[in-house]
Amino acid sequence: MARKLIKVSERMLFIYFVLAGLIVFFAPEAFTNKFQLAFAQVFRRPLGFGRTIYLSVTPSQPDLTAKRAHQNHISNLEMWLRTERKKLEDCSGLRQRLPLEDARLLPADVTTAPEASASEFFINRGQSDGLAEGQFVLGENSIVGTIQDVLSRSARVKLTTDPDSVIAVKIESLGLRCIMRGKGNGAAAIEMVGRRHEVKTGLKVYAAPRHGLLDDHIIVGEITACGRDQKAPLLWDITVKPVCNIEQLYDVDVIIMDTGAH
Amino acid sequence: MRWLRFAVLIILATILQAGVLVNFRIRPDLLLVLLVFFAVYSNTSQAIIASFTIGFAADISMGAAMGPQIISFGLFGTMLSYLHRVVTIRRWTYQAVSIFVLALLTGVTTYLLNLLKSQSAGLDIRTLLWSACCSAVLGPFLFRPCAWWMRIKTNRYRRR
Repeated sequence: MARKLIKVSERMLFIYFVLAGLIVFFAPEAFTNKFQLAFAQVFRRPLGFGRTIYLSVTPSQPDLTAKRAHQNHISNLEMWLRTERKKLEDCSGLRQRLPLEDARLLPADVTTAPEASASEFFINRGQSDGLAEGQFVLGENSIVGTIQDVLSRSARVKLTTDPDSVIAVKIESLGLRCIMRGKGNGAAAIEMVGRRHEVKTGLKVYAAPRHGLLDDHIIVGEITACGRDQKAPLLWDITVKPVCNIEQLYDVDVIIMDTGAH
Repeated sequence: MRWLRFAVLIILATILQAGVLVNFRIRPDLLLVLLVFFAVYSNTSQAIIASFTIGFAADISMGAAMGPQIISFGLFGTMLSYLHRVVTIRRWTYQAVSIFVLALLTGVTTYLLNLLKSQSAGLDIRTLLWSACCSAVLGPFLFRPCAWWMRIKTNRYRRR
């Protein structure tokens, strides 16, 4: 009897599920993202374990990773030195701070593996660790993304290559602040740079300081291709790739700036 | 259908897909293999429920936006289930072809739906094709352990 009461025809069942799918599809992302975050939080141990297995069977290149991190650190210091020299020229005698001196670097494990083509990954730190949306995330001494969604003990990191990611950057030796927008598939593009500027491949790109989030220039990527913009011939079409192997990222650091609130 | 066993199987496949297989650029899609399995070896009502549930699991595990895979998996899983009423998909070659075609169809539909949500990161045709091949080759071999776990007698099912 009860079985008969809840019997639904195949057609109606299909319609109900399609409607449910459409509701999820059109629902605000702030709401639907909670499902993904909850999944990452509940299954963070098996997901992390799976990643550990993968990394243990993959031929690791610790030398290469260390070298890349070291190079990024040198690039950051070079940029800092250049900026400091300029400041010193402007007003000599003032003591300058070291980059990220007032920042707390919170180490976090990557719980879900970031693919080369993916635009996000999850970490095992959250609101209870002091994480908030917008904070920058360091990988191999370079900016890899920003915190997008935060739960109590996990967070989603949006990579700089995500199509929704927009950050202010500075191109090495150009001294020009511009906007870098993610293109997906592990690349980003720098917009609105006029052809009069001397842009070439191999130039390093630095994330520009942002109040309360970043106090100095930190390397974010390297120009891998530049050419005339097909839509706007007076502008450059610049492609930037991260200077960090996102697929091999095992742990990251979240930059938490001390804003002096406490 | 034993729904508790179904839930365990889906959770296991989702964790494997998101935890281990996601590290490889070209990888089999376990959830897609399960979609074809349930579309072929269960009745239409069960196949509809299973397809949308697997789509939800795929959306949860793959990141990006929620919804595109629920719709594409649900739609094509249901279509395959209806198709199975007139065309028997029992031989492993047919099953492999079904997985391959479904992988392409769901991949392209998911991409288009992501475009609609302006969240697409470009369609990598080569990766999609190789992953579809990988799923098609591996899929039929996974059907037997899945059938054992779900207590489904694979020889019993013919055209419905």
